[in-house]
Amino acid sequence: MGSLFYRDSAAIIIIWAAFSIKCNMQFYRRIIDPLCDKKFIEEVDKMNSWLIILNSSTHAIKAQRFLARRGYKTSIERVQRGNLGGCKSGLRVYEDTANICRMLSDIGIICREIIEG
Amino acid sequence: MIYMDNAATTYPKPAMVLNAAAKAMRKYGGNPGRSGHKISEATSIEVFNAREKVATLFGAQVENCVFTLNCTHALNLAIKGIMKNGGHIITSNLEHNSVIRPIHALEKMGCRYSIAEVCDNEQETIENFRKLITPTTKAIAIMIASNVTGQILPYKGIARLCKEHGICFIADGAQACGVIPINIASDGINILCSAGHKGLYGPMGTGILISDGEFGIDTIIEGGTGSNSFDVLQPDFMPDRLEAGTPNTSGIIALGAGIDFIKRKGISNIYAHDMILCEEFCKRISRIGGVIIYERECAYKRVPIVPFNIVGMNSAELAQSLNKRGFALRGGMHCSYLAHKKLGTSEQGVVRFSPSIMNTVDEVDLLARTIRKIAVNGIEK
Repeated sequence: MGSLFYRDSAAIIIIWAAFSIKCNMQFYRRIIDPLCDKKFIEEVDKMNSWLIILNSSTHAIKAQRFLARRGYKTSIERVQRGNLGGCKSGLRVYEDTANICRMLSDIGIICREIIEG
Repeated sequence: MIYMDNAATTYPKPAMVLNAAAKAMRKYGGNPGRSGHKISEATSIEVFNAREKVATLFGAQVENCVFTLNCTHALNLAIKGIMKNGGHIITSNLEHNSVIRPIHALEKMGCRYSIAEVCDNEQETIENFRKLITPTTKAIAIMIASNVTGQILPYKGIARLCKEHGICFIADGAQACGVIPINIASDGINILCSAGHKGLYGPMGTGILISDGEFGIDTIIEGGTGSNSFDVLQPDFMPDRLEAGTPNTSGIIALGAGIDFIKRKGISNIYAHDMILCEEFCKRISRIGGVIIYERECAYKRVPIVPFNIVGMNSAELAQSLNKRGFALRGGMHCSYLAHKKLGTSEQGVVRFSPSIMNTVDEVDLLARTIRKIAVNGIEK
């Protein structure tokens, strides 16, 4: 009986820990990848957005993390811009575009183009 | 087998590196920075995470950290990228073939090179480099630490010399990265090249080139980058400029885990551990008649490498004899003919003892006793 109790207690603790880790990861992922958050997707469908064109995926991920630390939600898209040489990475933002571009420029990330919508 | 050839590559790798590589092969199979689908994006993020770890470790901007296939690849990109349009370059008389061969190959492109002598005295070494600078000198490319003697060169002093003269300083960090603390900004390094598979405990097939952005690097390899695809010219932004072709994604992700490992252990702790093993090794074999330990009395700072021989024995044969008895060490020239010329071991080579955090004092003791047996009884034919 005693060993069954300990086994069951251990199982409950492990399940709780796994659920807790999953919730925290989901919370973190929402900051980095808001498109995994269904509620956020519903909200942004109603929002204006702008696509900031950056040079490559490295620059886009750097920009996304930099902005996430400052509370901005963004998502990364792959884009084709013939006038800029072809394949690029786009950072979709939902607010404060001018300020975002200025902040990115301060850390050496060049905003090549901004497309509304 | 007891493996003590970590200057060639560290082995075994920590479990977290193996796990990261396996996970990457299973889960992150998209081509990073190419496709727009979630699998490619997820892989891009993992590669970026590894790049960020490299940047943090060496004090660089993340986009100026380039993944290569090994240190030789990185050094070729750096040396030929800086010297593409000719000029003069200076290197040292201890260099590995990964530095001296690309430099020598530049002669066909109209470049000239000079070799500066490395001494025990740091100021003398720096002065030897200073004397070779000419108005056409564009770069100095040297190893931070010798893979044969373990000597740490006065790289910070040479970096200052380069800055005084507006010269690019290219550092080969193969034996130093992950072994001693290196920060490209405070150390004055313009371009740092390193293997991912030695002191950083990553897998073979990985290397890094880190630039401080001061000197533009011309390309010697052009190809697909997943960016600017309409343009026949290689992108002018980093890291894409120097990362043509599909990268070794699982290797890079595992390299990130290797960096986590050394940060968790502490670089200074790993260094202290390895140096203790070197001291214990030297203490034991110095008592054996006929054993030579090279440059042990020299006062220079060193990384954990001990070159030694048994009088009258060829180093390759000695290494092979140790191999038969269960010890993995490297004998021979170590791809550094110049260093052997300096040591006076061009004929014989040396056997190199290079421990890692995975080795123990007991293993060192066993090795020393085995060397004693060989010294007394000779190599079995």
